[in-house]
Amino acid sequence: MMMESIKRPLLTAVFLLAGILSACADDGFMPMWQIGASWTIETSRLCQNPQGMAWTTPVRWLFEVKNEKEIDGVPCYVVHVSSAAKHSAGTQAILCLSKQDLRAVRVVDVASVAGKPQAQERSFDGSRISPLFSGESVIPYDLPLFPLAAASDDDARERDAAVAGEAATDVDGITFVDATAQNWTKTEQGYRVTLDSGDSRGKLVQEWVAGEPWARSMTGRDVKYTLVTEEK
Amino acid sequence: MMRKYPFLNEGVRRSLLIGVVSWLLIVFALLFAARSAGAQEFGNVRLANRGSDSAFLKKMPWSGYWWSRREGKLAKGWAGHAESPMQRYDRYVMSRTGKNPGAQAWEQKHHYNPTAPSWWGHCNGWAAASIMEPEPRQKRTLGGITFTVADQKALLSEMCMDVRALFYGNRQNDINLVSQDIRPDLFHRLLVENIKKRGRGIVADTNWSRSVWNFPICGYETEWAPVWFFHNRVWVTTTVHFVSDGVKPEFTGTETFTQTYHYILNLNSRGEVTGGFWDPRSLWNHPDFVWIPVADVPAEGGENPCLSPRFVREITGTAPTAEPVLAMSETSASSGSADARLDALREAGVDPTEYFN
Repeated sequence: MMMESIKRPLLTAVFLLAGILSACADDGFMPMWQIGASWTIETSRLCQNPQGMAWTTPVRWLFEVKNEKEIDGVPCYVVHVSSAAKHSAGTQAILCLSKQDLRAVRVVDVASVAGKPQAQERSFDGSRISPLFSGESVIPYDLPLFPLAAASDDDARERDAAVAGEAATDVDGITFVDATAQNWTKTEQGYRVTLDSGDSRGKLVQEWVAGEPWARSMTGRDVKYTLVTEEK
Repeated sequence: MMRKYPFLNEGVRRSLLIGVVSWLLIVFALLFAARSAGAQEFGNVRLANRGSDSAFLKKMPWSGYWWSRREGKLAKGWAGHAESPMQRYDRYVMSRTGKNPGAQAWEQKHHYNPTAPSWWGHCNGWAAASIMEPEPRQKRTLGGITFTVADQKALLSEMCMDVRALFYGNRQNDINLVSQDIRPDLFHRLLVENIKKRGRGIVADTNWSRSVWNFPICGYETEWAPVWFFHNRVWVTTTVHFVSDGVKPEFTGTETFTQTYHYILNLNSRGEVTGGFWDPRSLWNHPDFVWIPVADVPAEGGENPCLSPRFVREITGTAPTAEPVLAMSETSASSGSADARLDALREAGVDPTEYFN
């Protein structure tokens, strides 16, 4: 029983150490942002109906780096995500991400409820290491832990690197903890990252390319997007 | 008199008895020590001690018929209701636009199937509508056409066949004798998070096997007790109150039934829930998946595309007032200009200057 309780933190520490060491060997990949940077993703979700599943009509989300600011004592990029459609202002998100490693510090989700916008705030105190998962938001802003680095300089393309983490949800005095995981492999152009939220929603696979501000594409069990590189 | 076990003389039997009792004492002492050590690690957390909890939605989902595909009542009508809900809808829209939208023909062709599996129907549409839409409680007459409660519930159930939903668990399409899906810790969390904290209705497929029977959950009563010899386990019994669709089409109100589930939650040294598994009593009787309808969307293949939400709302006299908390719909009536976005943030209680200036 004691072994069980120390196994996860121990594994996390080992994986983190491995990640840090490998990051030292190779500077590691992290998208570079500055105030004013913006990009758009085009997303689609899988919906269930009695005959089977169908992908919804694509919608676009605009990401804008609005500010650099200290949030909860951490220097952060403030990224505003909103619909790229002219008719829609209801659903938005504000992502406060550590400038050092893009780890989430605070996330505000805003959604239209019966025509009235409502906000839900999530704070991340840093005591639990985890990729950022978009959860119930329809905006798929899921983000890995950075920097990403090859597991080894010698045979970088054939070995994975991984981080195990945990995400907590407090509900009515009960804390539910999901074991999360991230692993990545170097590709020709960047990194292929797999994120697992551990909550039965399946894995998300992202393709990150050097020089691009956001994942070029993401595919999950019921969501997918592509980075819009040029206006159609 | 013959002795049954002549080789077990008095001395041997006494030794055996002492040995067994000694081993039992040692085992109990070890278990007690382990439990005590574990108990000391717990902080002041809810699940560390025996307890109970319950919650019910203030706004109850409504009962309605599930509109079997094999019967095809939506397209064909039924005894005492010869003109079907879709025929009345077509007649109404024709009176408004001069054009037959073809809802009845589409329903007859695509949703009526006398050889369909017996469980195929519109339970997902009804479940979503009963959570998101106000209940039609009286007949309405528009342009000389009378729509009964059954007609109105039928149209809402069809309109909500395609919705945006949050989905948890995996749909079982084959028999899996040891399926633990949906995990009980996630199921428990969804109950507390939605029914108690957000007052939001959720839907569960109560059938663990291939067929799907969706029912809205309107409440739960739960009790838990630590498993005394495992400090990191909590035994939970939860009775879930479901809204029934086993009613006649004209029914108004909420009829419920209950299911009791047994499961064990795993705790870490901080008393946080890290997982769980279904107790053998619920191994073959637990929900398959859970979903939360958050917004109606246009027909995406599952619903009758000839049905216009605009006309359905005219007929039922309803506005979508019952959207659940944090319905993450992309669409909104508001403008998408930069100012409108900032206004939306302010309206949600978020000060944009806190982040953007």
